[in-house]
Amino acid sequence: MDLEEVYYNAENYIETATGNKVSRQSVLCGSQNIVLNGKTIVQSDCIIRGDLANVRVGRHCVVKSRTVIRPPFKKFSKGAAFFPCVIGDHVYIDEGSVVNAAQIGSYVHIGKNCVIGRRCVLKDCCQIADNTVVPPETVVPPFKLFSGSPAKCVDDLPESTQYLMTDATKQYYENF
Amino acid sequence: MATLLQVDRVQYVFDSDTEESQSLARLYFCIYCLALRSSDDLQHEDDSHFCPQTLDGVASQEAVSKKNKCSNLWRCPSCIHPLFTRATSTLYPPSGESSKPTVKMVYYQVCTFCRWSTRCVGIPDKEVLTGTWAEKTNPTLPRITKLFEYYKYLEQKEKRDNARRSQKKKDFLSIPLQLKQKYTSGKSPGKKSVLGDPLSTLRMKEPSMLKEVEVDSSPTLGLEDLEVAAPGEQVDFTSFSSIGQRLDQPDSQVVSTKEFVPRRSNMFLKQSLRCKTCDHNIIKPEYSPTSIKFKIHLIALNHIPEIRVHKACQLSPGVQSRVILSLCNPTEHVIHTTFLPLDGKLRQPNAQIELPKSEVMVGKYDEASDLLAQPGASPDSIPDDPSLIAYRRGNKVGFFVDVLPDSGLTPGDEIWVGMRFKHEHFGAASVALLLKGEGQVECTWLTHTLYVNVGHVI
Repeated sequence: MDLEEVYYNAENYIETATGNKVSRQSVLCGSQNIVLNGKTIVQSDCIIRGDLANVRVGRHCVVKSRTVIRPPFKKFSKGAAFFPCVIGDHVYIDEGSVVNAAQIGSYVHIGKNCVIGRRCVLKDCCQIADNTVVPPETVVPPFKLFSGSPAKCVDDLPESTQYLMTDATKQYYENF
Repeated sequence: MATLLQVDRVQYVFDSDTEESQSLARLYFCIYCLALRSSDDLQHEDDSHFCPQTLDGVASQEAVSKKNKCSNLWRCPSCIHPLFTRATSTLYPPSGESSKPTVKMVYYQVCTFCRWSTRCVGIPDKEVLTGTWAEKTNPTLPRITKLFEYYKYLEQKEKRDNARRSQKKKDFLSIPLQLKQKYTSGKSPGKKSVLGDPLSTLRMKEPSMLKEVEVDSSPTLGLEDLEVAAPGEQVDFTSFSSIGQRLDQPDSQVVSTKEFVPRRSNMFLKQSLRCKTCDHNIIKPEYSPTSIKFKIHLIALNHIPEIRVHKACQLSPGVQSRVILSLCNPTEHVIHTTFLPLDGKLRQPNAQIELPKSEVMVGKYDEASDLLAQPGASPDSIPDDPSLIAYRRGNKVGFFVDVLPDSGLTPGDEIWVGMRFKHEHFGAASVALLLKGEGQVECTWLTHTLYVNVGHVI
């Protein structure tokens, strides 16, 4: 089914020259360290912690409301260090998810109320089902659907995932 | 993705005999047979194995020799999550000549989800990082080996008995041994003789040569053998393994959590798909486990126009309503489609549909249009009939259909309609080649049957 139109109050959103639409109700800490590459939508009540480390988000991404994107940290003998969080293109992060991943590839779908643990690596074309807890340092291979708590591979995704995700994120932007 | 776009609402029939259907996103299109194929219709071939955590590729032969288990990845016996190796320094008491205690790095495995570690069950820490962890041997391994031997013995015995039963039929074949040597197999050893191999029965072991294997029957437990908790005794459920944990390790099926040991993780697999009819490759992924590219990628979504429901509707039983369906053309050619009524008898939809009577033209897919801010109608389009076409945007067109749900439907029921549609298919020749005059336009008309879930009854 085609995605439905989403209406928003233009006053509540900032639109950048590259086509990003960021809600004024979201919190972008350390905005100088946050890069949105264009046509990305950040909805209300999101928190992006750019003050901890760099956060780079690709093109045509959708970050839905109440999502937290937080760069991961690692403990060392002399303290802890934060690592940058890199998110690819055409990534859809649904409502209420907490993302602590080190790397999220392109064409990734993260469901509602998920927790992506510290330093996780989500490869291209993978999906995390709703209400999933991905434990720290997990690697999600391409074309796999992870679900449950702790997350484990439950199914394979079709080879057309890249086209479906591109279509979905583009449609979402066009209908927003 | 599949759940975002609800692709399962439109089901394309891929087997006209059984009318089995699936969403177009999960189907493949064989450009040689010009037919839709499902994953079950195709021959699966293992391309490469890889470790799910480190994503290291392993050759198929090596994977078989390792019983499809990773050499360096272990999983938690408690929650099935991969275990990670942690390093810590330990103080060793003074030994030998040195009077000072020595500090050494030791390694243990820990689960980052449930915090189970090898220290919990008293497995000693290792002084070397990799290669020192060994899997616990299966306690029933001797019995399994014996059972294998026994089944091999049975197989040989059965073959021998079958050969003896058909001996009478083959008797006449044993005579012309010279004839066989004269006319067959001398120059072509791989070719089988029409007469069969009369020596095959001789090669079989005599029953007396077969080693008889005796297998003890497994002990049967009675109710009296089970441990029964004394009345009033408190049972600590946390010290017992769950059913899921026991089934995950079927060889040991440990009852007490104190007996948990790390287990090797299974490898993942990359497969290529081949058409069973024409033997051509349909899907051939690149070897690298992290790659999402394909050497051959014949998915249906790239060749067949996709029909979707434009908007979810709520319909009333017995009341005709107007629904917008969208049609998307993934090819580089302008295509014309015609809609036809359903002719299948196996599956009856629960609503009637009035389809467009005239042909619907869909613009070609243009990659450059992605760069435009707002893709408009294709320049070669003709004026559309507003009573038929709802919208036209690039390679997409929305058209109206009238749906009349059956009057016997109850609120909440899903409404399914069925239709057939016919479209042009322009083979594999690209537009660039056609413009140069090197390619040839091979236009064929393909017909598909599909079922669409247009909404539900209010």
